[in-house]
Amino acid sequence: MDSVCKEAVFKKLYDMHAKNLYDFLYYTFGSELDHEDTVQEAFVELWKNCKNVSYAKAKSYLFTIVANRTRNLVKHQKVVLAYQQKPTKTETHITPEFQMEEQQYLEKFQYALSRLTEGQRTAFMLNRVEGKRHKEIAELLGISRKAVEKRIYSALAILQEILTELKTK
Amino acid sequence: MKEKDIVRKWLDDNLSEEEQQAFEQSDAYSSLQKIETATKEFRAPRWDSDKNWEHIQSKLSGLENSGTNTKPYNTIAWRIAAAILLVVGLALGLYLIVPSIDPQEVIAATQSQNKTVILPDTSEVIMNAKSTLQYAQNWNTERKVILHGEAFFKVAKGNRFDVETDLGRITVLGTQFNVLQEKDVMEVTCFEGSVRVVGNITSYVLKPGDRITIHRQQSPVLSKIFEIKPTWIDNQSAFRSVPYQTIITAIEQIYDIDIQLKDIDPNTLFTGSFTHDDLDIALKSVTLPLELKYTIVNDSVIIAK
Repeated sequence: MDSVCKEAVFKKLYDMHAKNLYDFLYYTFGSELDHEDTVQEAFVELWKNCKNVSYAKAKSYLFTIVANRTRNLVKHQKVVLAYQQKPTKTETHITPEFQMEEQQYLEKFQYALSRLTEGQRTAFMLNRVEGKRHKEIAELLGISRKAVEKRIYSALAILQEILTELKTK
Repeated sequence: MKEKDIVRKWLDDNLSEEEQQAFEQSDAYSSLQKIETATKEFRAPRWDSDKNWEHIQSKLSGLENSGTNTKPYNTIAWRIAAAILLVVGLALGLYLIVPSIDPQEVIAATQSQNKTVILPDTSEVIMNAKSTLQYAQNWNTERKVILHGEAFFKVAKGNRFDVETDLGRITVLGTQFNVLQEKDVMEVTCFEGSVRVVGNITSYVLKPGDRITIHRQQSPVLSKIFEIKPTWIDNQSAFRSVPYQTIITAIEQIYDIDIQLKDIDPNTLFTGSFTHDDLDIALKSVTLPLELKYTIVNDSVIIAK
């Protein structure tokens, strides 16, 4: 079995999991934290304990570390994801009214996303934004494919519901 | 097939071509498209694999030095590093024993006037009105400045560069960024490169266009900006969704006057800008949008409904 203490194996684990760890943290805990630092620290921990962690266990070890560390950091904070704001001046063919509507829609959307459970939001974003298949997400999060499907579908249903509700107000 | 099942299959890209085409004609699909488009706006920032790997390497080398890890990453390299560290350590020790003659230099920007300062390492600092910048004469050991007020930094490439304020520390390599620190608020905006802001509780990494606002008592707020450099450099100040009091305080500072708010909620959020050249125009641009009136009496201004 490959030892995690081998530099090449350690680098391979980094290439396989680092981005997924980062995306997982971002969508689960929101955009207001320094997740890069957390991911780095997790790999430092893994290296320190490389003798005790098998190659097969490394992935779940990393995910557990980053999740615990972040949970200790946030505690009951509302999760907010940031959206890309577009420059206002360059798009002259778009009316200010339209821009405002779009902005308001994104704000509502931001709110709706924050109302999802961590699990729902993470599965939904990994699927819709990062383009991951249900099977991949299941492996990543260590849950069944059926559970992933359920999370994504209910996330979509909740988003639709909240957005319609906000529209009628 | 029921609509619910079609959506479920669509979510995993499992629809056949005919099913997909039929689904694209449905009403449900157009509302889903709107959600799809919006969802993409919330994409996580790009993961920079090389940069983070480097950071991990440097964290690991820190470990080796402190001796917590028994297994050397690269024995020879670490012996050399340890030797260098020893020499640097000795030099630093000597430096600390010898009393420093002139440890700090203070530069103060004059009232309502900007001032450009070139630091010993050729970094450029444009200081806003009523700001002070302190830095040690000796730049051999560290690049560190202490800031009160507001300044725009163009940091020359090199070692770590630190800006310290009462509310936290900002660490960068080569980059461009703006720091505003006033009483209980610190606002850091990154224009180029990347900037690490270390607050009391956690640290944040800003990318170009990112701004963080840290209040002494509240949790930090992250936002986006589009200016390529701070607006105060061109003699105007622009604000996005700040409490009204913040913009009023800024006018007081720029024009050196006293402004009183009468029956106005100082926490009303305000977005807009004002010029530094003409008090009348500046006051108009912050009162007209909220349908407020202002009167100037001597050196003070009253804003009311």
